Amino acid sequence: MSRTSKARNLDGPALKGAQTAWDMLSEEQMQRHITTGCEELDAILGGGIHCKEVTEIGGVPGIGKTQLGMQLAINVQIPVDCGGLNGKAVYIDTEGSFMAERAHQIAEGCISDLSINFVHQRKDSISCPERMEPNNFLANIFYFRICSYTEQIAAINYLEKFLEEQKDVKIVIIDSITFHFRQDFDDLALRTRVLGGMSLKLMKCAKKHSLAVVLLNQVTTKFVEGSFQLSLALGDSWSHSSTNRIILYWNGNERYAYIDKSPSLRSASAPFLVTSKGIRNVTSHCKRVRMM
Amino acid sequence: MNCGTSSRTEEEMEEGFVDGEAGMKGDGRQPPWLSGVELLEDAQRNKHALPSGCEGIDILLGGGLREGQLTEIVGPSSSGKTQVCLHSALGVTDMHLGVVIFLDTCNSFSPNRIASIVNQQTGTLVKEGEESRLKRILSSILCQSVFDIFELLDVLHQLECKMKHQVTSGRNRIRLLIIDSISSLITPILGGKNSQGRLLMISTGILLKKIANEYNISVLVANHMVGGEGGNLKPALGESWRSIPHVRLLLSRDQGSNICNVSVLKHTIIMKALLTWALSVILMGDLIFTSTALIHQQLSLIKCLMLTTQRIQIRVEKKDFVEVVDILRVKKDLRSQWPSVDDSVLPIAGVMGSKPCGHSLDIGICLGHQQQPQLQENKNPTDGMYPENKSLMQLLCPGRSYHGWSMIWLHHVVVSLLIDDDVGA
Repeated sequence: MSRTSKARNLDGPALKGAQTAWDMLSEEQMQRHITTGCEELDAILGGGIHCKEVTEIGGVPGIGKTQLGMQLAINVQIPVDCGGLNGKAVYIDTEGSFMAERAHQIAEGCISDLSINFVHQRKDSISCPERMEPNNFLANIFYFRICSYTEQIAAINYLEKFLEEQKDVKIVIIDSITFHFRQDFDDLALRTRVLGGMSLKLMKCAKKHSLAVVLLNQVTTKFVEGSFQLSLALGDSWSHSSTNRIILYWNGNERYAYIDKSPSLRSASAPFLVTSKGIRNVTSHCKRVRMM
Repeated sequence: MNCGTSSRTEEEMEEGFVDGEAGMKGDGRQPPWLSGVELLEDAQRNKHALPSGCEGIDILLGGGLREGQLTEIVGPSSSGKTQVCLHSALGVTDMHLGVVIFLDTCNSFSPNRIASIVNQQTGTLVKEGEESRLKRILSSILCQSVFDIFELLDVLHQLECKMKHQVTSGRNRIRLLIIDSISSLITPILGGKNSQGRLLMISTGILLKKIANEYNISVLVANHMVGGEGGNLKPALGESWRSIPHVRLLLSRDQGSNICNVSVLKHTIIMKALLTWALSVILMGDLIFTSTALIHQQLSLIKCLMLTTQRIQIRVEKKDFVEVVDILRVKKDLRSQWPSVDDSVLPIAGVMGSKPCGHSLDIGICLGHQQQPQLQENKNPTDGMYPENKSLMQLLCPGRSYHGWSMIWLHHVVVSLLIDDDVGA
């Protein structure tokens, strides 16, 4: 280092990579969120799923985790004019629950809703009708099928390199993160280490490439204080690995989402529906039914 | 040649001896030996206590986050650790104390959250506008994401170099270093066949303590909890890490409530011995912090400090008398019941209950003489109180009834109770 730069270093910022919170505030306020399709859920999330953060979504089987994952993979591709991010999605599937036909259906539902809501705003947009084909939406989802935990570790290690090449990816969905780690893992300490390393890598990807990472998780029963309670799989050590946590649960016959952990959001619940068009708001669906 | 080598070694020994002497006087090559008096002066002059942003935690810690010490907060997921870190950053920068460095490993640093806390608090300085206060606070917080233990060590070495040459004082001095959370960096490398992970963990801890001590900054780290024996949670990072932080605080939060409990696991100054019971209820925007009690049957001494709008300092000695000092403001209609509150001695029987009330707390205090237990069959001591907090009173004076005593309700208070069984014995 030359003397001048050394001298300059003394008065420069304390750390090379640090930002002041003031700069981060303006960045954070300009950051777009990924809508989930349900307005109430978006409202409690502060606009949608946050980028640069790792969100864990857990729930009992059949509640709609995969549906929500697919909806987010489609919604991230909404053009910027219509309030989306115009990005691509990476879908890492460990259970084989991704159905291309269902994704096609969700894409159609999304396009039809967009054309209803935004047609009066942008009559002169030429690019919109070109992009808004369900097949184009499907083409922007990069799909990885994982069959064992070693493949999962390898995929996440490869993700970094993949994201360097594909700069448009704005969401990474892993469905589900726990599946391959729950069975035949004898050494639990090794499992904790591997999962810890995996979560650090995902955090780093989220921050570095400004994308959202969504991890879908299963639930397990835990014997606490004399009763069985549902808790997310992989135990206490994994519960610290995400920035936000959303729990999906049944309340009678309705599906609800509850924010369990968040650094900036209040704990709240919101109902949502899984319809043929994807995840939708409860009230608007009812309104549509009434109109018909 | 033997003679040659021995003479050389003698010379070397002489040199080494001189070096040692010089070292004792402090020639700059190695830190000087200090006498006890010098250490005390250094502690009084340089090692201040930084506000932690929450009054109750400040009381619990005996002043706040002490410079030169490594404070650790442990808690299960979603218990409020990140909130405590954000509040400390806010507390230090709000008081114009200096710069805060926030090292974030889980992407949970949120300037929006700090902005919302600032907007909720009533501004202490009337002259400064809201916007400029927020800008001043946020400009003094530097945030960096680290995702690797080696990155962390690199950052710490950079900081050390920077602080060695630091000549500025006042606004630009680094005062507080927050790492949220250190266990996510160390868990991937800890354990396994080689012990390199443990080595890195201990070297990081020692480096943090060294930086804290030499440059008079306070270090706050957050740690996770993992499952221990019998399904109980225990702090992560194992037994080797336990002895590294100077102060350890345990956070817990019940499901669905916005009250967080803080208790002291380890402290250098506050005596714990058999019983340490600190109950602190702090207002933190929409989170209320209280600390749990490690219950002991025989309470010998209770020091009770109540802050914010109702300022009462109450000390209960062994004879169950309370010296009430410094009541600043009690509810007006109740003041008439206590004619000379300034220097009267009001006996206190206990805290009857507490209930969160919006953004504050209503606390019932039972004042009166400790009487012989009278059997009052139908008299429920907590009649009219909030039944779910009955246990609080029973903890204080188990098995006693409180018939005939006056109750005062203090509204919007912050309460802290400390019990030492060594003091005043």
